[in-house]
Amino acid sequence: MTVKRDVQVLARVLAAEHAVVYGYGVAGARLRGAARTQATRGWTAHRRRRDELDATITERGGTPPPPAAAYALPAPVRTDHEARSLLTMLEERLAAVWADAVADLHGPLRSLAAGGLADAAVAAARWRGSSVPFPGLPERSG
Amino acid sequence: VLATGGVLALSACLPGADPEPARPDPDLLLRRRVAAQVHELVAAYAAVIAAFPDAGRLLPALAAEHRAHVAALDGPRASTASSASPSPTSSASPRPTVGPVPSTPAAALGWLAGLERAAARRRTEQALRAGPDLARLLASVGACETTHALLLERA
Repeated sequence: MTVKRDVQVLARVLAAEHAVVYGYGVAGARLRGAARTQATRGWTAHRRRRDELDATITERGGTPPPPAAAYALPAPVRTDHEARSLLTMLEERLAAVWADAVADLHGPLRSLAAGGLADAAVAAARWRGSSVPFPGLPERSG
Repeated sequence: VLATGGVLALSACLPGADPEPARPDPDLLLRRRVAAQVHELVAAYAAVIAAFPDAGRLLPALAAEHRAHVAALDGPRASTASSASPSPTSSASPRPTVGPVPSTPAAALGWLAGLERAAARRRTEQALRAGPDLARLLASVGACETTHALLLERA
């Protein structure tokens, strides 16, 4: 029962990571120079997380959710500024999904989720240019 | 089963009843310990800001986020808890010891970054021992501390 619950939680995070990988692909194309390098690094890091989650779900007998063919972007991405805004928002939303997973998981999987939250928080801060006190906790922002 | 249901239904009908359960919150001690540790971080920032007043706006901004952490950890339970026993962050307890501040601004930023990284590692361990809600809060605080370390290293 617990394993089944773990798989459900991990599948939710994997679906979010799929969307973020897609977003990096779209936004990265609008960035140049150091920001482009940073986006490429982020894209690679999220693909690694995605593969790790995929394997963890499979190991537990679950079926990893596949990526969608395309995702609806919340706003058009035509400029450098819009690309940075999208990536900030995607990392913030991802941080919230990982934070909820921390509450729902235990032991090593909770540590994995805490690591995912920290990575998303750091990436969001890089795109935003500043930190926030409670990454992943939308009820405590603003 | 019927008797249990009756008790639950009865307590649900009494909005004036004390919502605090009789047994102690297992997370309360952990909350207090973490709040005291974050308080030490705030003290370290204050020491660096006092030693290098021209170090810029980053340090006060990061320290303010740690004060928000302490407030969140003290939480809504703080008022009920303080009547039972003194808080570890109260003025009665000794001042946190932060050690000597390094002699150059760059070294001081590196020192704070090291404290942030150590704090973040602790938060991950503490999250493993906490209930779901506190674990989520501790992981968020730890993620913030990791971010601070990065910002300090790049400053």
